[in-house]
Amino acid sequence: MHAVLALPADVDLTVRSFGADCSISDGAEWHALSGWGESTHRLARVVRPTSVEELGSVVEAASRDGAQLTLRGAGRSYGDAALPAERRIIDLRALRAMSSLDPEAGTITVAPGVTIEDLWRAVVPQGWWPPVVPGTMRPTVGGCVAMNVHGKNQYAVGPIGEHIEAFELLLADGSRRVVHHDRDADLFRAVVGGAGLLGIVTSVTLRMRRVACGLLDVTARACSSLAEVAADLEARRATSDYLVAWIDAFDVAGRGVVHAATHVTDAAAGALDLAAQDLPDRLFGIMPRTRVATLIGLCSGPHRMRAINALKFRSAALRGEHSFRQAHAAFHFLLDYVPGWKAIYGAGGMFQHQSFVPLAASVETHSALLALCRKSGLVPWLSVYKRHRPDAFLLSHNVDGFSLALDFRVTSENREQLLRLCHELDAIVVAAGGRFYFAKDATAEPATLCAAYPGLARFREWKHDLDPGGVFTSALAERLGIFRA
Amino acid sequence: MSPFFRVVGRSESSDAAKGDAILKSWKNAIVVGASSGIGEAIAVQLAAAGTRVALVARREAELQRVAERIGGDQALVRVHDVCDGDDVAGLWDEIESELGAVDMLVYASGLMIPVDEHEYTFDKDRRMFAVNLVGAVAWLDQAAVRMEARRGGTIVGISSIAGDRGRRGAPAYNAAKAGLTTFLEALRNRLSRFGVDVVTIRPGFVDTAMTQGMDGLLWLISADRAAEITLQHARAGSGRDRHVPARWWLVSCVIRCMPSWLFRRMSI
Repeated sequence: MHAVLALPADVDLTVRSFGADCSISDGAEWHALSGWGESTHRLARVVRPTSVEELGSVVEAASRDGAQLTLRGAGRSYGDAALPAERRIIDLRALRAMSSLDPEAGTITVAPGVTIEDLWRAVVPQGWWPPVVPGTMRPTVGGCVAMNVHGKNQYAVGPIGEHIEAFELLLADGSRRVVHHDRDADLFRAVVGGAGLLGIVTSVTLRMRRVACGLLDVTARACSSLAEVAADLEARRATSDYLVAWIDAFDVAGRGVVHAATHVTDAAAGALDLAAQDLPDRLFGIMPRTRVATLIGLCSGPHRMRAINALKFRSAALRGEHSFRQAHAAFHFLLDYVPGWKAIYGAGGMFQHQSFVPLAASVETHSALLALCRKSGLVPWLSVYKRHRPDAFLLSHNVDGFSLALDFRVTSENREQLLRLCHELDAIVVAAGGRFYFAKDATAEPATLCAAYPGLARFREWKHDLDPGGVFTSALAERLGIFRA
Repeated sequence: MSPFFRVVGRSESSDAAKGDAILKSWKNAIVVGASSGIGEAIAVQLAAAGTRVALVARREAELQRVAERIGGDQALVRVHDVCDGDDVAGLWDEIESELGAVDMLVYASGLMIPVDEHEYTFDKDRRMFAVNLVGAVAWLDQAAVRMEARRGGTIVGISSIAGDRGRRGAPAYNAAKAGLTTFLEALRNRLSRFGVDVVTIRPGFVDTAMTQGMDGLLWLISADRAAEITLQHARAGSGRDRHVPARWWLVSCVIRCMPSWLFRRMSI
């Protein structure tokens, strides 16, 4: 089933490799690593294998020595999912081989270090687009599989795991096996979304989605409350390919702006070339993108963020419901528009609290979360609302309902209070039958995990079978006690 | 008040805070080169201020003597040759397992081997680089990566005014100290945003084993005095590069501004 993997011609080998010729005694670099939220840090020794064989020998050596390993790709998990429990990190970014796209089936096989950016750039000129992309194109496919990422179309097509044909899994004992989505469904559903804790995915065959052109029709509409946002998302569910809403958490009603997008089906619209998809170098035609972070640094602060959120809502409300055409990349990868956007949160970084709550309780629960934030004086600076549907993965974060993502600024002064707030938010979410997301979480406690993940017991059985020595772990696994029954 | 002015106001108040003697203190320090001289004096003074100190150097007997001077369980002795840079990480782990998290590193090891006016002995020069620079880098790298990951700590490097220029008398010593000063500056620029203070100390002539037998040294101070000034700078809680005593700064400015052709003609 696996196509032959070859390195793409333009592969970026700026990622240095560590081979036998490396003069460092054991080939491992020393790094002070952070989660993407820049609020959690760990000392790490990093090895960066350049082939699956080299990777295999690293894993075998760890198994033999009783050492622990943590997998890391682009490091785009906000919390501690890609931070080491002990100290050892395997950085998979040097494994960047990619097969050519099968033009009949629309499948492509990639190594785990291939990024979402590599992927869409490879397929878009041939009239395909990845069926699921997260809000940034920088994550690796390996990371996306480990976290079972979703896009703005989760309610329609599920997470990325539902578009994987099969993958090859390297186990702690050094053996490799192919896991097919259908024939090995049980293991498949444990590994996808399993946070890299059962083994290493060394290649993935993904199904792409055919697109007529490179554009989307996007409609924006301001809604005056969270309930209205939810109702609007619900109403557009059947007719939109992508749905996302931004929420003003400073507002008592939870007002927001809904963005709905559909694929343009007119092939004449074109825009399948990379130039049409490239993010513009300047925002609004004048502001160089690389300078934007400096500018937004000046916007930092609760009062200024309140004003910016209000301004964002007002400008959308003034324009009324309006539509425009946007390239795929521009619509999906908002985060990549502003390099260094995290500068707005300052040196302490940020926590992102994302909760997934079943439909019947969504609006009530999420309104309660927003009210609690305001009451505690720790209002998230950016809040996003999305629709989801359930899936069969063992550690799935998806429910038939809505998710609310809250970005909090962390400072040395507010950190303790913020942690307490997040735990209070967690309790409300758990009581409503909600879930959380390993790619975001930095704050949850073990009890929360047990309550939110019914598949945990089965996952622990798989862990016991596949990695009895506990080679694969992470700071997240240790914090949440994922392996502790 | 506009938001912009508040930003300015904040930095003023933090400057004022320094003046108000909110001084840094440390729980656990590693002092490399603690068996004599400035390193010993710093270790003793840190311990007196309540810091637990890991004493690191080659000579065990000397370390034991310093540990006894400090007394109690304030000091931990670890024998280590700074030429064995690969051992540093393991040693650091060992020290932390005994003391807990180390929030200060002082690198005070130094070696100056006299070389004759017409002598060019690689073995001597290599040893000076190994102790003054390469060994320092081994310890400073470990301190940097651990303190960045913890978002805090203080790193003190004892460099020298000797690094200001390349002189006739001590090419390797000058070059190694210049390298150390530059390395420390780069670390300071890297780490200040993570709350890690990197302090460069450039002593003038200090009455230690290194200056034994040299006569008529300008502005000679005791090791205790050098340690006292060093810790004052470290306690200020900001990355600094300071001459010790401060009047050497003026001399250093003049010397560093001197064109090479002029410097060559002066036997200083």
